[in-house]
Amino acid sequence: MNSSEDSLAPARGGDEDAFRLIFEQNSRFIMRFIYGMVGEREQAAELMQETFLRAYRNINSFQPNTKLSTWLCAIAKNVVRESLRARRREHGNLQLDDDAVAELSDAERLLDELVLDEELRRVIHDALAELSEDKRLVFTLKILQQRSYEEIAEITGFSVAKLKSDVHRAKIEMRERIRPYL
Amino acid sequence: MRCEENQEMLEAYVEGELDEGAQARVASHLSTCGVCAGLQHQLERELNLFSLYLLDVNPSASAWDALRVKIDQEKAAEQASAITTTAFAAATTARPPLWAAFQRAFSSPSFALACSLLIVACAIVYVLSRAGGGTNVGGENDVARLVPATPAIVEKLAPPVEEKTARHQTATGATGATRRNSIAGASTTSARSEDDSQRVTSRRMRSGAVVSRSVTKRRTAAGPGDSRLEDGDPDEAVSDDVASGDALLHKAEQQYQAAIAKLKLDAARRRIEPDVLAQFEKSLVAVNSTIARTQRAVREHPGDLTAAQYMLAAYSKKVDVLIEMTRH
Repeated sequence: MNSSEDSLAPARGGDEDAFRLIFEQNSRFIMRFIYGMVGEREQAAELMQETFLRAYRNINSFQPNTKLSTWLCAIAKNVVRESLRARRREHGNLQLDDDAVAELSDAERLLDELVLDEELRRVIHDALAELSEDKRLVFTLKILQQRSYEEIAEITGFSVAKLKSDVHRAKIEMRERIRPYL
Repeated sequence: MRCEENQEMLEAYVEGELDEGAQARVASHLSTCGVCAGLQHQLERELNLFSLYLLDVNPSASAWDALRVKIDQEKAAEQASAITTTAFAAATTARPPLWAAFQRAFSSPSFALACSLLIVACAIVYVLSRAGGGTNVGGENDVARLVPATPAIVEKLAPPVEEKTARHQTATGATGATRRNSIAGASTTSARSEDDSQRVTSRRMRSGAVVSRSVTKRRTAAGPGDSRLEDGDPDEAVSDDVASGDALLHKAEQQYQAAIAKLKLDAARRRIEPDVLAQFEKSLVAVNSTIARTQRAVREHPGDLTAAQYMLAAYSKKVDVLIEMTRH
């Protein structure tokens, strides 16, 4: 079994090892997508778990003509949106959790410094938080995760034209914020 | 390709969104234009920067284990739910919901018979309660025995049979003055007759005139010349009522017994689990014992409303138990 798609049939039959393979091959992408949306690691981990739990429950409703990662990402998108709405109801207008960046462990900080300046990370984090939810969604998928417009259209249900427009506007907004660091 | 056209396509080029032909044209321009190449470099740097943002975001090593625990919990919950659903389905099959039970019950002749018996039983209880059944309900019968209407007065007050028979009842509640006036003479009779008639009506409204109806019925059967009825001895009327009630009671008892026999046959055809059957049999033994005791009480105290009520209730309970058995 090499791909997630190959694991589908046994996973549908309740084979947990097959589902584990699906998880291992897609969890990073899903985790990063969710983190891009919520900006907080612990919450991203919880929402990723919820995403795969829903996928497990509904694996028999998966349509074979869809890419598995696309299907998972669509579930993740719904999970994230529900969570954001719930948080908005609880706390009013949502701001991405700054503490998530501040509370990185030492190991994470070290890694972070290697890949991205902490200050620049915070700037991107805050800039993402300022985007509207739709723009953040398409920006995360298109720019942060380099997915095709067709796939994003499938995940989000938006037209490619709207996606291009949203990505263009999101890039302008993000660029303005990070320009001093470029 | 001009710079302007190239720059419009540059973002798509960097993002890999162009088709092969367009990509080749942009690449060709970039190889010859330093300004556009500079812009391309800036866009690529920007993209790299963004892609770095997520680079260190990874699921924890224990993510699968945590998920597996959740999945196992869900599976356990599903199994528990399935067991509950199965048990519930089995229970509802054995004991259908109200409407289904209602439909099934009324499709059974035994149940319909049992219902009609209940109605008859209610009627008997009602008749007995109105007749007094030998008990001193309100003490009216005692008064009736003490103050019988004389045949002569009854003769004079006579015609409408309903009123005449009701007079026995009126007399039971009539004041002493009314009775004295009645005895005093015929001259005041017609006036008093109207007054009495009103009292009769009023009284009948209160009492339901059950005894009157009963006597009237007998009178109709016997014919207008039957002096016994015309004179209407209240003691006799009450004892006749009790006898009539007893007859009805006896009839109801017989009907209950017939229904019980039918239900027993129905129940015997059911395959009831031994432990459930044992419970039913235990209930039947208890009910039979109650029936036997109440039967004795009814025989020993004919016309005793309470005893009759208990006996009919015991029969009714037995019918309930048997109906329950037929549903298994």
